[in-house]
Amino acid sequence: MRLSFLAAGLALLLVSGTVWAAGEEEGAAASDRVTITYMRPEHPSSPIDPQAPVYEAIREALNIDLQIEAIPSGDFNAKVQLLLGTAQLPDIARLRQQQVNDFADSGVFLPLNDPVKNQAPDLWAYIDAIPDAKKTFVDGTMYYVPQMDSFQKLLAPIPMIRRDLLDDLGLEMPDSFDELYETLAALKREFPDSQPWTVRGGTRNLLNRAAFPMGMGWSIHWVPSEQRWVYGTVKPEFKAILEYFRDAYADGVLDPDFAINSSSQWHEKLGSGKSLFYYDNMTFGLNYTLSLRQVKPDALFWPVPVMENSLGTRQNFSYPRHWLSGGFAVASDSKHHDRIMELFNWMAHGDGLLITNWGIEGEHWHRVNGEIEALPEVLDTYRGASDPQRAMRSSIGTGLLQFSLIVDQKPIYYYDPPEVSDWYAQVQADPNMHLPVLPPPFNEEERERLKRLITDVDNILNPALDGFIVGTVSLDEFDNVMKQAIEAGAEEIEEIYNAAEARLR
Amino acid sequence: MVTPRLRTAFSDRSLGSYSFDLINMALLLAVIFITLYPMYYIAIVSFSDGKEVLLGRVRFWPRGINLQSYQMVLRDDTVIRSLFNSILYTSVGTAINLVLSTLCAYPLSRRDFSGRKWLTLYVAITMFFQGGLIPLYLVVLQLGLLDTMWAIVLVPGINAFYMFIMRTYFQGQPTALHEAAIIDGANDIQILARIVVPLAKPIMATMLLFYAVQHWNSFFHALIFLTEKARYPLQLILRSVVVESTFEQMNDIGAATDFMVLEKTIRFSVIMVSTLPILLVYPFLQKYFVKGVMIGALKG
Repeated sequence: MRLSFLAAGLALLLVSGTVWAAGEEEGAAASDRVTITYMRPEHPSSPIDPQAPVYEAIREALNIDLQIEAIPSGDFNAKVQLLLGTAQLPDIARLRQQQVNDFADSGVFLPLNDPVKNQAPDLWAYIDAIPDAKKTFVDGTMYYVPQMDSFQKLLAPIPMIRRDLLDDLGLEMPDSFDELYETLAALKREFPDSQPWTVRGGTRNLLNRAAFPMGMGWSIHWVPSEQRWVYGTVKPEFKAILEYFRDAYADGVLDPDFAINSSSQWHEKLGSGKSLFYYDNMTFGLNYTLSLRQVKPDALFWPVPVMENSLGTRQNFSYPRHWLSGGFAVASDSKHHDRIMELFNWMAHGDGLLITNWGIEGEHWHRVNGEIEALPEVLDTYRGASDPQRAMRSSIGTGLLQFSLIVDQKPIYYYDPPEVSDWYAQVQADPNMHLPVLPPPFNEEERERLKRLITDVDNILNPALDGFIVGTVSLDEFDNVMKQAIEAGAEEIEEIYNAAEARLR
Repeated sequence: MVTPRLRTAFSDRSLGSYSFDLINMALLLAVIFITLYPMYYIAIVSFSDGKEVLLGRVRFWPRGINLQSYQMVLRDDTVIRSLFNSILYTSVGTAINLVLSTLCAYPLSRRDFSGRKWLTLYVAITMFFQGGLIPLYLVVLQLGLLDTMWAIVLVPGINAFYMFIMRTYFQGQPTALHEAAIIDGANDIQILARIVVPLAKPIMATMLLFYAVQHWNSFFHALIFLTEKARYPLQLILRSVVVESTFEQMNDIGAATDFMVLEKTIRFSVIMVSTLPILLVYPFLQKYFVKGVMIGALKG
């Protein structure tokens, strides 16, 4: 009896599974309607709803059903590698430059120069107007449409400090890195349990953000004053930067967990008052400020203007304009190349451009004195969300994290409080802020050589950097490490970059 | 309360022996603490006030107990749908696993089964060598299972190691039972269904638990074989919550300030919600589980 009950249960489960799976199957399409698969990483703050108004509008305007495959961003690379390895790419995929470069020769991507030029001229006009966009081509061939912006405020990783505490203690806003050290040391003395300067993403991120402003950038980077690529980590000036952090670690100014903090721990430390300074995306400062105000009503993170370094210069990189290091690749075996080009061109001008960035006219936006503005009632709908602008765009299906080729970022600033607008203005007005330069395109031989050299040099330098800062590697030993890194090809990396840059120019 | 017998046992022993036991107990208690504290910490954080958590005041007891984070987690469609998917995949998958493993283990346990050695070797090879991910993906694609539940439940249909444990257990059953059943006119299927399986409850329960845990924890097959978000199991959601350290898809969470405060309690609530169902299965299968593992392990 019990056995038959079990068997019946099993049968029920199997049947329910079958019915469930069958119920999800796609219905028959109209003769002129095509289904185009579109895969992209799904940002956790911006989930993708295939029924969002924008995707409905694409269906109505172009008779194209977008079948969206939203892959959790943390696992996206694994999935992409598998799909590229099995040549099972969806019709359109939002990929990173590196993913495209690695498989460009395999024939899995459609070369886009001619199709875009001929069938999506409005899109080509945008690409043609951005000189750096051509740096994304592989041996002159465009394998993905880079994601570009039509409007975006300048955003930068900059130093952010607890201004309320400076005011409480009568400390000045630091103007140089030496002053910053003194200020953080004073905060440490006043709050012995604090870990003033905290970092996410380990030493790499610490140096990536702070080393260039301190005089010599980390790894291979563009030096605006010299107009050339420099491998900074092996330069004598870099040692002074490491010594700065070595002292900061020893004095408790630098978070003792700087090398291993996760993003979550980093957020917690800054949001709870454990840490008082960071050098990263300035907009996080707002969240920390709001969180801290629950326990200290006047708490306030504030950007430190670009500081003078030990060489007497002031310099800082902003985040790049556009998102050229990623974009939309088309599968070479897709049966819908013409319709995809039609879609791309629609998205690059007129209605398509507006819809993919703002939604539907009258429903989500209207014109005020000729300017496009989001409808107030739409803005109010998302005002209570944890991340209102992403919630709004996710729900409508617009913008950077959904499916927009040319992104208008204006909608993201609606919810910014006045402080953040001031921060943007400060960054925009700072004459020492430099736009980062995209690496030049390399030929196949250079790509292969660089892959090997970068691995070799990183393997020598990276472990030593941590050791030097925490004091387990001495200064003499570090000199040897730098020598080894140069022998392993650090300067050759520089040469390859500069040769490729010269060729492009 | 110290019993007379225990008191005698202690009084008869040397100081060295007593100290050894004491140190042993202290060490084992430390191991238990190290093992259980992370889980306990997740539980108390999930029940605590987000502000207390953010300020680092939650260490050993929940502070400012509230269930706000659970309300948010359980109100979220994604979590509920993926929880349902996980239960479905685990139920169907485990049922398939048990049927297939039994059907494979039983013949291999019969000493009169010709070709048994070669077939055993053939199965054993799969424990050490696999085809790799790309061939597996292509097989699933060719079978038309991509983006269906069957890719999740059929692909891990048999775990060779578990199947061998079952085979070992079946081998331990007296052959006289089979002979008696044959004399009574039973065929192989009847022997399996009416004699072998009913007498193998401990190993079946153990395998059920092993397979169920395997399915419950699995996220990788779902990641590579599923494209429709509505089919994602809970573990994929949990992974993005824990690995990407965010749960911001909950747009009704309140103002940004509340979000910062609640992020950790919500994250830990999701971990609790995804862990509890499978933990609850253990007590019911405990008695079979210990017995099954011991028997399966001792006889080779």
